[in-house]
Parts: sequence; C-alpha cells; structure tokens
Amino acid sequence: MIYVIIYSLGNLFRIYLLRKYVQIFLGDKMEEKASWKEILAYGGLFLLNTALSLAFHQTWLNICINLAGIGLIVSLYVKSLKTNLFITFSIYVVHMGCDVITSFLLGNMNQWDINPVSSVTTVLMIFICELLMERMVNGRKSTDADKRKVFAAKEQETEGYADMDFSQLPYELTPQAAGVLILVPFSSIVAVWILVSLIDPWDNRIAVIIGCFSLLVLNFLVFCLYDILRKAFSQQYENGILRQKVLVYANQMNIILQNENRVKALRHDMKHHMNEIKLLAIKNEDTLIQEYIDSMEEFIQNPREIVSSGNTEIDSVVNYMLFRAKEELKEVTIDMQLPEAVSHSFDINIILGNLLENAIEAARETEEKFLNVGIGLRQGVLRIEVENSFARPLLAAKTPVCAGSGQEKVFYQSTDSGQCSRFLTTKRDRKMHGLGLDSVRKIVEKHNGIMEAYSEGKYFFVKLILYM
Amino acid sequence: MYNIGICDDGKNICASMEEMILHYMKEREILIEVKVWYTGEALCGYLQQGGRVDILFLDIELLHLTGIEVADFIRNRMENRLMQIIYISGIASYAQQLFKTQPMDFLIKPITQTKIDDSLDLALKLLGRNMDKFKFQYGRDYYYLPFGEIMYLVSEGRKIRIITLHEEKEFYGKLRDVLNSLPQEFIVIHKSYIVNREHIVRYAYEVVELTDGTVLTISKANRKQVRERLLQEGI
Repeated sequence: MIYVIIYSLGNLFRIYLLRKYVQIFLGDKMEEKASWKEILAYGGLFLLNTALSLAFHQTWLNICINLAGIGLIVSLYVKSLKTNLFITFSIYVVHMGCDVITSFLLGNMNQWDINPVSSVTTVLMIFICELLMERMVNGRKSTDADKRKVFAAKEQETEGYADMDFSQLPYELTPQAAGVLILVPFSSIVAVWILVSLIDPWDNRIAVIIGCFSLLVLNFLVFCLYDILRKAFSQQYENGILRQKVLVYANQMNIILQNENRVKALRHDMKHHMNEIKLLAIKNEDTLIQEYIDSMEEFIQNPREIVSSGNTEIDSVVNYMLFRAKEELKEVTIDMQLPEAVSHSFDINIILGNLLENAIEAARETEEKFLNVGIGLRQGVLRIEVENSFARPLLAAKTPVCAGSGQEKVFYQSTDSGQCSRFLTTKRDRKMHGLGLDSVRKIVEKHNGIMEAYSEGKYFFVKLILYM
Repeated sequence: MYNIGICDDGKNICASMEEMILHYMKEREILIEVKVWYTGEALCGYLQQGGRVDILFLDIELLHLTGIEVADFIRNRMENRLMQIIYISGIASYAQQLFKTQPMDFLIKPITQTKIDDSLDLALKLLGRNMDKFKFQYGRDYYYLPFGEIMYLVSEGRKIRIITLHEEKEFYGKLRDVLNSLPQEFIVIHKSYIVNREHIVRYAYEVVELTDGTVLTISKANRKQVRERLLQEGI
C-alpha cells in the first residue's frame, strides 16, 4: 500500500513537471496560474495514468497512455499538430530515458514492478532535466531582454519611441521546421524501446545506461536548436519590420523634400504669377483667373502626400502604403482624423502596416480594386477600419469571423483551414503573413482593444478599437 | 429655432457659409438664425452677455484668440457642454488640445454645401435628442430634466441619484427600470452606474472620464459589452 502511495505521489509530481516542461517550450504564451480547464486536464491525466499503470503492468500500454496524455495536454496550448508532436515526443523522451536509466542503475530485476525507490529517482531525474532546460532558456532570454532594452533605449533617444517593444511580437516555429525536429525525439523513443526490449538488457546494463544517456544529451541539443531556431525566426520578423520602417521614412523624407521644392519653385515664380493674374483681372477674365489659381493649387499639391495629420510617424506609414495602393488599385479613399501627437504610435504603425498590406494584396486580385481606410480618435478611443474588395465572395452573409479576444485565436492560428483564413493566406510568403495578423491581434489585446474581421458580399472588413 | 454661429476671420468664407446654411434652412424648412463673428473675442463677448449659440462653425486659425482657446472658453469657462462645435480649417492636421474640446466634426476648406448639410443634419439630431426630457417623481412633485443635461445616474440603495450639469436630484427607483425610458446614448457601465455617453471625454478599458473630471469605474462584467459597443459604432 505504501508503495502505491509513494508511486502516486511521484506520479503527481511528474504531472506537475509536465506543465513546467510545456511552459519551457511555449515561453511567455502561458499564464502563470493554471485555469480550471488545465487543472481538470492534468488531474484527469494523473488519475488515469496512475490507475492504469497500477492495474496493468504493460510497457506498451504505459507508453501509449503517456504519449496520448501529454499530447492532449499540449493540445490545450498548441494548435499546430506538428509542433504538438514535437513537444510531446521531446517531453516523453526525457521521461522514458530517465525511467530506463534509473531502473537499470538501481538494478531492478523486474523493471515493471512498482519500486518506490526507482519511481522516486525517476521523478527526481526528470526534475533535474527540467531545471537544466529551464536554465538554458532563461539564461538566453535574460541576455536577449538586456539587448532589447539597450536597443529600445537607443531608439528612444533618436526617435522617441517609448513603447518600442519587440518582445510583444509573436514568434513560433514554422510547421516545416517542427516536422523535421519531431524525428529526433521520436526516433530516440524507438531506439530506447529497442535497446530495452530487443537486446538482452541485463547483460549489457552499462551499454543500455550509456545509450539512454547519450540519447538524452542528443535530445537536449535538439531542444537547444529548437530554441535558437525560434529566436532566429522572430529576429527575421523584426528585421522585416525594421526594413519596412526604413522604406517608410525614406518615402516621408521624399515627400517633405518635394513639398519644399514645390513651395520654393512657386515662391520663385510668385512675381510672374502675380503679374499674370493682374493682367487677367484688368481684362476682367474671371474664369481664366479661377483656372490660373486652380492650376497653381494643383502645382503645389504633392501626389505622394495623401494624408497630413501632422503626426509624422503615422503619416509616414499611411502615405507609403496608400501611395503603393494608388499605384496598384483603382479606387482608394481615406478618412483620417488624428491629433498631431498620439501615444503608442509604434504599435499603431505595425497595425496599419499589416492591415494595409493585406488589404492591398487582396484588392489587387479583384476587378474593382477598391480600398477604403478610416482612422479616427474620439473620446480616447482609436478606431481603425479597413475595407477592401475581395475576390472570393464565398461568405455571402455577414459572418463575423471573430469577435472578442477568445475567438480571434481560432481565426488567425488555423491558417491552413477555413474559408476566411484561405482568403488571408493567398500571399506567397505564407508565414510572414500569418505573423503579421497575429501581431496585430497581440497589439490590440495589449491595449485591451478588440477587433473583428468579416466579409460582406464582395467586400472584406477589418475593424478594431484601441484604448489610448 | 436654432442659433447657428460662424466664427472665421475670412469675410468671404463667412459669407459663403452663411449662404449655404440659409440654403439648408430653406430646403429642410427649419427656422435658423445665423450669426457671424470675425474674431474670437467678439464671439466670447457675445456668449458672456448671455447670447445663445446651438451650433458653432469655428475656424481653428483665428487671428488673436485661436479656435482652441475659444472652444476652451466655451467648454470650461462658460461650462457649455451642449453646444455642437464644428471646427473648420485649411489644413488637415489638428493639435492634441482640439480633441479635448469635444468637437462634433472637422471640416477642411474648401467648404461645400454637402459638408454643411451633413454636419448640420448630425448636429440637429444630437441637439434634438438633448432637448427631450426625462420625467421622474419625487414625493409629490414631478420633475423634468433634458436628457442632454444628465451626466450620469447612480443607484444608492433604493434611491437613484441623477447628476446633471448643474445640479443633483434623487428619487426612488431601480436603474433597470429607468434604463428603458432613457435614449440609447445612456449606457450601463456598472450595476450602479448609467452614464450619458455625450458627456464622456475619455474611455479606457476600466474607467470612463466625464466632462467635469469625474472618473467612473466600468465593472468587470460590463467591460466587454462596452468595448463591443464602441467597436460597432464606427468612426
């Protein structure tokens, strides 16, 4: 009886460690506190696992239950199947490796008997592995955070971006990369299984232990690789943003220079213009005077300067994106009412950049080539509305794809299925695209805002509000 | 009858706007009186002497006293929160302070008849709603309060306190029952607060700030609902 209790307690701790493992993989995505749904899932797994492994001492059954259980738990947090499998296998290989090593180390003749010493040692070893992995990730994270701080501080000096914070941006592995990475923990599990069952383990005790140990090390290395890949991926995304920012500013600089040149030219010719108008006035040519003034006005208009709210950062992005839109689309309209200074302009720019990019991309493939943008700030609430013509009128009626923060996740993360997401991923560069919308959602959530996207007939709408 | 004011230092603009407003008046068959001021000082003087203006077209770039200062005078010194202010300007960039004076709209020159028609339609709609009255009984007396003047209602025990721009009143009742007789500008932000949205200067996720500086909490249960409503409203 006492054995059963010790075994159960060990198992309980193991399940708790499971959550810590998932936390390592997912990073900041998980809440520190467990929700009731999570508690229920973990509790269920614990009861099932303990009961089944006490009732039947079957190796294959044990492996299946554990894999399925871990997989189910991971699926609470991860939507992509490949990423899920990778995480599940990685976690299980640690469990299995530790299990095998301890049973052989302690010389337990019949390894599937319940042995309190070995089960406690296993759990402790899993715990040690967990701590090691956490150490590795956290160590890198803190240096990253330091770098970011320095970076943000520099940015602040030069451009006054107080809220420049890249850590808010999403980073997740591509399913392809995860798919390849799955193979390592998976084949390790198979290898351990073969080591234990096919070779006569007792004769080669040391070999089995060393084999398991090296497989564990191998998996640690793969985990490191996973982490590095993930970071590299997020870096790639950050670079994309920065590159676009540079383009945007270059465009705005151009606009300012052009404006200045036009004004200079007009001032230079002022005397001439005055004389012209005076002459026309003497002749009482009213319509000609009007035409003359109109043409002067037209001369001073800069076609690249589409909005001029006085808010340089936001003007830059909107001018850049809408100039592109006007080149590629037939009808582009904008209504923007913003004060000269707004807070969070960095975040707003990411939102606008991504939404406009998507809208232009989609509208370009339609007959109508229509884009309408509304940006306004009223009563401390920033509203952004983007409306574009839409090639696939599949969703005829007004079908809100997402309303409220809960449902948006489904909308954006399931980019491989569903009609709307199909619309959203017509771009060649699938991954960056999905990330773009994901970062919009994240920023909206960060400011307690809300967004919705839906199609109505031939048009697609994205609406969002942010509290400023 | 409505009093519409135009305050702009360009005499031609004033004249053409006056014409457009009179055209609107004939078309809609509404009685309107138009007054014109060329300086902010003149307008402020008129208001100080008790002159009434319901809708004001106000140039941002006035000569001495700027449009912002005039609006600030109207809202904060005269404490007139109900006047519908429509800014007119030659450029499309607006200073931050402009947004704090609860403008109804911004018009960019050149001003056209359609722009005038649209903004007058909206202004008259808002004014009309503000004129309707809320009726309640306290003791034996019946009271009537224009909806536009009510800032918010608070439930305290069995009583409801009404806070208006100028005074406070109370009566016996339940907020739930009162809500049905209020126009849609009034929103529930808390089980014991109903607020008139016309008097909100700033929304945050957790609180709203009113024109007189009062800050009211939006209860957790109502935050999502309020946010959803803001989203549906449009620009």
